[in-house]
Amino acid sequence: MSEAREQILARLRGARDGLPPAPPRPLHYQPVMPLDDDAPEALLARFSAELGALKGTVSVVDDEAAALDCVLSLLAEHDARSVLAWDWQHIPLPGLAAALAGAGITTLRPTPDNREACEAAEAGISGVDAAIASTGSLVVSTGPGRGRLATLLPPLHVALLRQEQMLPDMEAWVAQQRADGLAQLGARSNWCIITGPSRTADIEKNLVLGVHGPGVLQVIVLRSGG
Amino acid sequence: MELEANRFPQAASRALQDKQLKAALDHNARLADATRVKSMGATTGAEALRQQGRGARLRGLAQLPELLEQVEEQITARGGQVLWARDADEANRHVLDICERHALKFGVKSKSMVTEELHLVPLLERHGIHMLETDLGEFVVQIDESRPSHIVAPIMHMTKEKIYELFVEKLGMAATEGEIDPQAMTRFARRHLRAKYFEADFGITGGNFIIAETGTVAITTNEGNARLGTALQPVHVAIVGIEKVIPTWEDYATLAQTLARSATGQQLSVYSTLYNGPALPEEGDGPQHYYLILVDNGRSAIYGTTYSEALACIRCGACLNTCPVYQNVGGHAYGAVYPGPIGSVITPLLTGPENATPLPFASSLCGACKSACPVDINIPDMLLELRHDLQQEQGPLWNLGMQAWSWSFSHPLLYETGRKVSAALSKAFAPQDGGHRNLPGPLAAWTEYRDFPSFPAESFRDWWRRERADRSAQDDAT
Repeated sequence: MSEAREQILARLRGARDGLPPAPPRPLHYQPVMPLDDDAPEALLARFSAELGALKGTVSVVDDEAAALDCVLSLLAEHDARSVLAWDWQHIPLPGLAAALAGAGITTLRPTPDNREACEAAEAGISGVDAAIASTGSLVVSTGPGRGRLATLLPPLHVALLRQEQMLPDMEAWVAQQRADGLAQLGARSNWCIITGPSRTADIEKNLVLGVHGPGVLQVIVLRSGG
Repeated sequence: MELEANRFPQAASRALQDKQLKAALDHNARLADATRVKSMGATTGAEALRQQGRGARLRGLAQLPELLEQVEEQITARGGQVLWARDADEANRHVLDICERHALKFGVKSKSMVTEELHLVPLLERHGIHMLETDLGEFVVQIDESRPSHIVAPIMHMTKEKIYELFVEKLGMAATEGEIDPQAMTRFARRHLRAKYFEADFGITGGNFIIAETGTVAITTNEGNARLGTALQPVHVAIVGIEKVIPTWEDYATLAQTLARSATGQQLSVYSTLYNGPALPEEGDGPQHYYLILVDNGRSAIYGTTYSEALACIRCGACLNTCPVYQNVGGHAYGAVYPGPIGSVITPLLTGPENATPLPFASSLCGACKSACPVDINIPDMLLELRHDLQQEQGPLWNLGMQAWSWSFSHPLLYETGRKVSAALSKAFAPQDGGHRNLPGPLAAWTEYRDFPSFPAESFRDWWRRERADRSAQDDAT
């Protein structure tokens, strides 16, 4: 153990009596944003409104065929010839691989050796771990076949999710992880809560999208039972 | 630019004459403040949330040694490495050692106040390691070879015209006709920086919070620069102050949201990125090596003192935006890494009060900072306490003067005589409008920055005597 470590910890332990009293951990944390209605349809409406306000877009589709159409028309709209994608097993849309191939679109999986090709990809396609209605956020975590770049590098990010993945608020997502004993939270190397397209207001508070991450964020939600 | 907090009065005077700065601050700081008020107002209850966030930070401080050990244990178990640094030299040494170990030559850096505090970038440059700032604002500051003026919005002091000139002159951006377009400038910066991300062999970030129970470093950006600056490069070094630890994920949920609302009025920042350790096999991106440097650099000396609460700060910048002093002089005048009200508390504590004597006085104690703070830090009280500490160190003449004043207060006859003499002198020398601009002798120090009011024609004591006499005359009459 390093000398610095021992010294810092000893100093803290020696001085802690003078700290202001800390209130006990609350039994129930007050959620930051009020939600009037947590019925599935209300959550979906709220999510769409929140993400829309951030200049992201949400398409709600009734079945997988409609979801596939939606993906293909989005990619066509952005002239996407190659896409960075998560492994198919992590995207809740069977048939996506075949549909992309059928449309002549190349799919790339990032590796340390194909960075240039990744940079040239016009779109990224991913699934999500969860979506948060009150803030219009997507939760993504890393793992084998589901890296960071698909959600980050290309100018367009298409995220696919099922309505069942929609949670009311960030507090509900944490509660879900807590019920799981935080096993998932600790096991992944990286998590990201994405709330809208990449943005800056550094220049005189003017909003500009797509600084380092995607400037276009398109979420496709597959309705329950679809 | 040299950091010189002791020159605050001169720097503030200069700032007040700067029309371009005034225009930028009038627009940016006030807009940011209004946005925060609106955003916190939209929650389930701003005051209760402030206390909930405050509780999280205070519990983090109360259990700090144990939580730091927990963080180390968690990160080490995942194959990351935790390094401890007592001061700036030790922290910088750790970074240099890491660079040497992995033969690193070029790093991309996300915005981080603690690395500003360590003066890390100039040090790495001296050792031949090139660092590029990737936050748009910090990038502009870097090419301008100046310093950030705000802890959240580094170029709050700059107009778009100035940024446009910099891009054209320093980066060779093609000059354009007509209205300056922030969109086009941002697109230009994206292209310029994107190429560099691929060249870099390591990424340096700060950390907004460390969630102890999983040892997770949380970093907030809107641009995505921290996420990209740790996705393509083989090494990630996170440098975080020891005070940033919070116990649980529930605490994080509260603080991540109140931080975003207080800083920029967003519900959440665009990228709340949460780092647990090096990338796992088959992820295809992410760092192979992950280091967390825990920096003390004066924090443990604040811990447990009257000023402990200052360690609860989450660096949202709300107290800067709302402060009437900051709104007028901007961040550079403070001559410190941490400007504004919280900076006026932290700077003397971290650098020694003798190196920042004017800062605790750079406040009207109006209390706007405390009301704006998402964790309810009592900044005005701490500024007063710092003033008190500094008075203890005043010269013998000052102490003698204060003793004489206090003695005269407890001797009515002496007090009354002194008042009459002062009032007579004041009347004799008063300018037309009644305010003294230049008091003589040692009293000149008072009137250097404010006017001394003339004495009223009748003192309170005289008024009281007369009023009582009138009243008893009336009583007698009835």
